[in-house]
Amino acid sequence: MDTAEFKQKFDRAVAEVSSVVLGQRDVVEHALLAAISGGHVLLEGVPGLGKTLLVRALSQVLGCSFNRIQFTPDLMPSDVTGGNIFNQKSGDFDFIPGPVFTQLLLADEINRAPAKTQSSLLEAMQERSVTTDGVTRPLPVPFLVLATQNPLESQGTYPLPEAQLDRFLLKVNVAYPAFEVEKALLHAYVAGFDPQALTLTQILSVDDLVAMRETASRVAVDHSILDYITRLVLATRDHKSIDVGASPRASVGLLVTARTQAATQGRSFVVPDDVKTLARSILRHRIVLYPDAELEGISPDDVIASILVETSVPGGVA
Amino acid sequence: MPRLGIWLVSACVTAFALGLPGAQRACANEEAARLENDEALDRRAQKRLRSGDFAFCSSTTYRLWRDDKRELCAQKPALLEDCPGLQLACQRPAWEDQASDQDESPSWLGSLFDKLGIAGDALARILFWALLVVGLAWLVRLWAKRFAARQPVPVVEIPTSALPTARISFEGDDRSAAELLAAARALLETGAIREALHLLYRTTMVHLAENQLIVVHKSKTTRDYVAELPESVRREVRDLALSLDEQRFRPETPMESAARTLLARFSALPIMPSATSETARSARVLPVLLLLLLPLGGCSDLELPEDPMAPRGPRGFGLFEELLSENAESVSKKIRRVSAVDEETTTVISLSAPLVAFDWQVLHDWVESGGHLVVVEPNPEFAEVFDVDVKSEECGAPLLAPELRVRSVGALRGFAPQTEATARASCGSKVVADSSAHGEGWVTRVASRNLFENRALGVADNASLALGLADVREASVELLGPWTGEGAHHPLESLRRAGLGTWAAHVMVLLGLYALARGRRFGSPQDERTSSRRAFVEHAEALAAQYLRASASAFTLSRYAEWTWEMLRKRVASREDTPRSLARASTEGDAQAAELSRCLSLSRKASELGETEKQHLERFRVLEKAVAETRSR
Repeated sequence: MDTAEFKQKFDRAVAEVSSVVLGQRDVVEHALLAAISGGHVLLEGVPGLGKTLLVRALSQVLGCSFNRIQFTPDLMPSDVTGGNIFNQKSGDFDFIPGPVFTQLLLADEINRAPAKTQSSLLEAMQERSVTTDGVTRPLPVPFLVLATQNPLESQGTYPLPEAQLDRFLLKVNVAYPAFEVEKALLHAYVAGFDPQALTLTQILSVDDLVAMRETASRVAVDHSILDYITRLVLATRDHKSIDVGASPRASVGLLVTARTQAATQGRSFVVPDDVKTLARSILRHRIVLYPDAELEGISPDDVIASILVETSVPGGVA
Repeated sequence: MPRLGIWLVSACVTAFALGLPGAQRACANEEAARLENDEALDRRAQKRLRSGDFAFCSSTTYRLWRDDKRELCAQKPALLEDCPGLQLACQRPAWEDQASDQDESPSWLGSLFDKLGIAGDALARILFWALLVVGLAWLVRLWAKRFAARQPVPVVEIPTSALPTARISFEGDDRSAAELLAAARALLETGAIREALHLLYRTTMVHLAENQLIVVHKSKTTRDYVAELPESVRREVRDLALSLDEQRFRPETPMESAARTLLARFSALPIMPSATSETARSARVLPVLLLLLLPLGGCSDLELPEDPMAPRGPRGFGLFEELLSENAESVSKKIRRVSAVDEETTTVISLSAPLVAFDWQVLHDWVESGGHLVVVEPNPEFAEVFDVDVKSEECGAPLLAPELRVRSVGALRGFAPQTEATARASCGSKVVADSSAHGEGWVTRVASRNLFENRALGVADNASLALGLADVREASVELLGPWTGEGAHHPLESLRRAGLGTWAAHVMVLLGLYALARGRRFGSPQDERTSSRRAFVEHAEALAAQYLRASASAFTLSRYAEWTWEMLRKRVASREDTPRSLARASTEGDAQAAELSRCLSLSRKASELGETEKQHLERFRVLEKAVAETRSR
């Protein structure tokens, strides 16, 4: 697949999902980007912004199977991965797969489950397989987890540890829709829109996703762009507001997504814009701020913005 | 007999002592009355007058004021013969009459307009004002453009405490767009195509910045710059920038033809300025220079008349000062008010000085102690202090002075004669100048300043008369005049008096233009002061203080109880998620478990219970103990 075809298919897929998920084009693009890049997405937003609708729409457009797990404090790891149940008839243990055995998994409010349950999902995300009772079972291809987090400080939550957050390729903040968008949403409901009865056209197949991933991996990257990515990530380790900077996984993630981003623009090479566009989504969940920085109201996005301003762009004016 | 002799001697001595001042006065007055005819002095005065330093006498283009013309031109031919300039001036209309003079040689601008056959003066003035208005309008336009360019550009606002360094300032290539373009072309010629394209990209952005369409920064990408551009140029620039990006970052070596095409596209951008930025700058400066220089060309036609009272004017004292300097021991002009007279001064000459009673009193005391004061046209304050009559009247009779052939130039005035004064120059029955003793000194009063003016000193023996009246041989003279006490009180007045007002205004305008060109920042950029960060403990203390002020111990306790709950849930394995179960798992002993369980339950709803702060504190300690004991788990 060449980059022109890549761009065309990507745009069609985004348009199709955006026809039902109104006013969240950036989120749709990021989710699709992650799907092509083979990474997972952490969506953070208050309830009711269409996160579940997004994943459901995405599954239809990509022709993928879809499952949803609502994480609660009493959720057990076996509720996620599945487990062996004794079959009285056969006298043997049958493995009943958990909801993780799907291509698109929505892990809703992942921060409400205890650490043990979280880690079972995160292991599946990393390994792309589930091991129960010594038996490893691979997960379907592609396997994409879209986890959601409620940003409000509520009681009874178990925030994901930083080491686990690193496994998500992107973290996307889902914001409230604009006035016009919300009005359009209401118009859609008045016209009979039913989010439970979605009927979207499948634009991409699994083979398409694989081909697109292959195309993205062939996108050329100039050494000055690699230098730029490295400088950005390194800057997170020296910043005075950051306690723990981004790991090399962030550099790799930035590179992979920048290549995919370039392909979505129909280019066979990466430009600095591709890196700068994705820097926030790649880095915001991989840095840990000092407590006093947080106390002063500084957010990770603020810090990343300052790093971007401080870092000179390759082939720029300086 | 001896007694008679003693009486006689005593009487003689007494008589002598009493008579001596009078005798001295008589002697002094006789001295004062003696005026000598110094022919050499008179000749020198005439020669100086015709030397060319005194324009009214020697200049062929001089014009007189109406009053002067009336007085001087009616003089006997001798005066006019002595001064050829005056002869010509008498043939011309006076300044007030403003008639054109055919004999005047016009300035180059005047000649130009005369040749064009139009009202030269009027056109020059119209042009001057038109240029001034255009120049001002251009300045206003420039200011408005700069103001519009300073309107906020949507950039990310960064909290100052998040900045890793001091103020983020522009750090770019100092070269102008023209210089960068030349460098890019040079690189293209050498075959370094990718480098040339990088430089061309930079040229494009710097060029847009020079036209104040964007603000360049090292961290900005093509997308950032395109977002800043106005709609009118966005499409062309975006297309060019994207094409440049494609050629710069693609893995294949860019082709020279593609690079040249992009170069041509840059040159064809709709916002290209003139060939070089230097030319553009010069084009901006030129109207300003023209504005400033053109009035100079026109000003030569606007020749101002000489003040007749000017030192070298007809009524000035310049020649008298020069003659004084040549004949006296020393001459100094008093600028400040007369608060004291120098010890070395022997003679003070007041040439119509506007002195007040205080000044005259100082001079009176000085005269009493032996000084010689010459007062020309004394004022009523002088009369009060010196108790001398100063009323004078016009006198039509010829001027007379013993031993001298003098001639009056202009109207004469005279005093009524004083009995104790010796007349030195007269006019009919009136006294033009006389001298009288005051204490140990003497005062010479002169009714007309004519005797000391430039126009008079070159005539006959007038110079001898003037210097004779002053009696400045071997004298240290202090000269008072209209300049005395009339120094500038502030710098602007100094400028005005020196005739530098216009030049100072021009300099201020130039400085203003320079400041405008440089922008608001005049000096080198300074880093903004960022607020210092506070230690975390200070924030915690501040927060605690706020809670204390709010008497929020109940709320604090409930928050702490929630946190304790979470800690215990994480650390201990309890069967149920209840206070009782957690307490049992966390402690040893039923009593402790019961206390902890009760504490957990009540603390979480402390806000509703209405307990005292002391009770809150006791519960807090129980919870804190439970957290500490389970820390190792």
